[in-house]
Amino acid sequence: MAKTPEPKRTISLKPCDGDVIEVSPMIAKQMQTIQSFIEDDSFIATTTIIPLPNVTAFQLSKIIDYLNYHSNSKAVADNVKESTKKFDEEFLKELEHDKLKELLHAANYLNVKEVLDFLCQAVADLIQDKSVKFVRKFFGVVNDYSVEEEEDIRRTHAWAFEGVEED
Amino acid sequence: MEELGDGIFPEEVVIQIMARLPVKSLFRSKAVCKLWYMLSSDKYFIQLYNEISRKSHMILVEILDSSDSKSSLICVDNLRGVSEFSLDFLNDRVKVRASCNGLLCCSSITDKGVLYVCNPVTRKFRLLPRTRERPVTRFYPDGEATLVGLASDSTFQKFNVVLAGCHRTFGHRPDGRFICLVFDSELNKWRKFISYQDDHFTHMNKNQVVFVNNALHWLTARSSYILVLDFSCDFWRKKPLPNDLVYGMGNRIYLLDFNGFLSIIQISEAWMKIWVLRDYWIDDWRMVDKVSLRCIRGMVPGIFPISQTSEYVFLATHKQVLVYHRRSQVWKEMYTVKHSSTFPLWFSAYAYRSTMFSCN
Repeated sequence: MAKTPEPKRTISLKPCDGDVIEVSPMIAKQMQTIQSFIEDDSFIATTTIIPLPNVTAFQLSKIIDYLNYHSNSKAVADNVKESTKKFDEEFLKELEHDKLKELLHAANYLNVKEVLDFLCQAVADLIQDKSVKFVRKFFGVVNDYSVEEEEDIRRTHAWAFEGVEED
Repeated sequence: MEELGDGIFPEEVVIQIMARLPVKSLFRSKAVCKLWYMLSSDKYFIQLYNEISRKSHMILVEILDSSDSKSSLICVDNLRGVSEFSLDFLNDRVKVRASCNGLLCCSSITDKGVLYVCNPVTRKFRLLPRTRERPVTRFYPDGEATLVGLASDSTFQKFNVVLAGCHRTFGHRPDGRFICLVFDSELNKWRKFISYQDDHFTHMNKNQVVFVNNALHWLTARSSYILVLDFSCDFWRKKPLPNDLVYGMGNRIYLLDFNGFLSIIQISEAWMKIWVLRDYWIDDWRMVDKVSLRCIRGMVPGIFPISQTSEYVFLATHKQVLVYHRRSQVWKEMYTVKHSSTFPLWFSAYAYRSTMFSCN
């Protein structure tokens, strides 16, 4: 890919399934994994392309969208709380469970705290009223309790299971 | 994606997700697998959990029906709205006396002098040993200590309960002796010390006690300073109020917590002003907000701030709970009591947040 020389310094990121995506240093800085690349002495911002074998173009652009929106909304007026909430809701609405999980993996790989916190809260909100079975399936966790052990936990914390439908 | 027995996410991500669950869901998640059980019981996890829950404040209101002296509890949460709240697991008729970091201190109505400390979300409680001190019931004509304070330290997972008041035998004026009993959860014992001072408290400033810097803080009735009980040395100190604070002449002031800092809210006819003690040791008070009360003008004489964060302020009136969103500058009514014969809601409203704090 031919690169046009531009005065503005950007960081080039190459997702596993698409073209290079340019991001501003401000955004790149929030990705701890990228940050450690940049801090490396052999790194030259104008020519080096950082390969991201664990991140798809879709995931990368979602993460960049989120960071862009939130860094801009911080700079402007105080009255943005409602629209930020709306953006966050829309952001999640487009994600099915599998996509959400994959995006969380990508955010964890890139180590972007702001997105990680947001997605962890989203997953917590998603599973909070769900049955234990649902949670196991969602997280791909195998139940390693014996029947007696599980019953024992359910009995000890019976209040926590009140009013929750098992499926 | 690989599916191992331990699940698709690394442990540190699972911990971050668990730390954002409501307490009830968190306890349910213990049944998922052995690893999750272990993760959620870890000491560092509990600290992380309490740290994150710091952001979600609620208030707890005891609704006392004055006609049949029955009471019920509700929890008003900025995100989840109003929910019923129960202390039935104590198997006693109780009154909430203090709230701190997810723990409540309750006194028994049926058996005077019996105190519980409980975490209403985990439903664990501790019955405090009776104080040897008989005068606890004689501090005040209504048989209760003047000040009840609860200090729960989430870092060290321990708590203190404070009962304090002026010494007076029934029918006599106080003699200047200020008796203080402090319960220590680690020693499971009360200790007592006496000092000489003459402070008065109104109902409201008895309720509003703030725990920061390992000390409890109360506002005195004349609102000329903050009375501080420092646990590191069992010593009562006084802390000055902001210099630019005007008290009297239609101004009322209240003491609250502000994200772990001491804060003063002053309510006058037209304004609600909020100060925060930025530097505790040099008494550096800063005014952080000045809110016009024009849109709730008719209610101003009856509003009392109960709890606040950097985002919102909860206030109680006789029959309502209001929330003020500081960024959008919007007032919202969260709850209105339905019975006609209740005590004012501010009479028994406490700042509250749910934590995993263990009282055992």
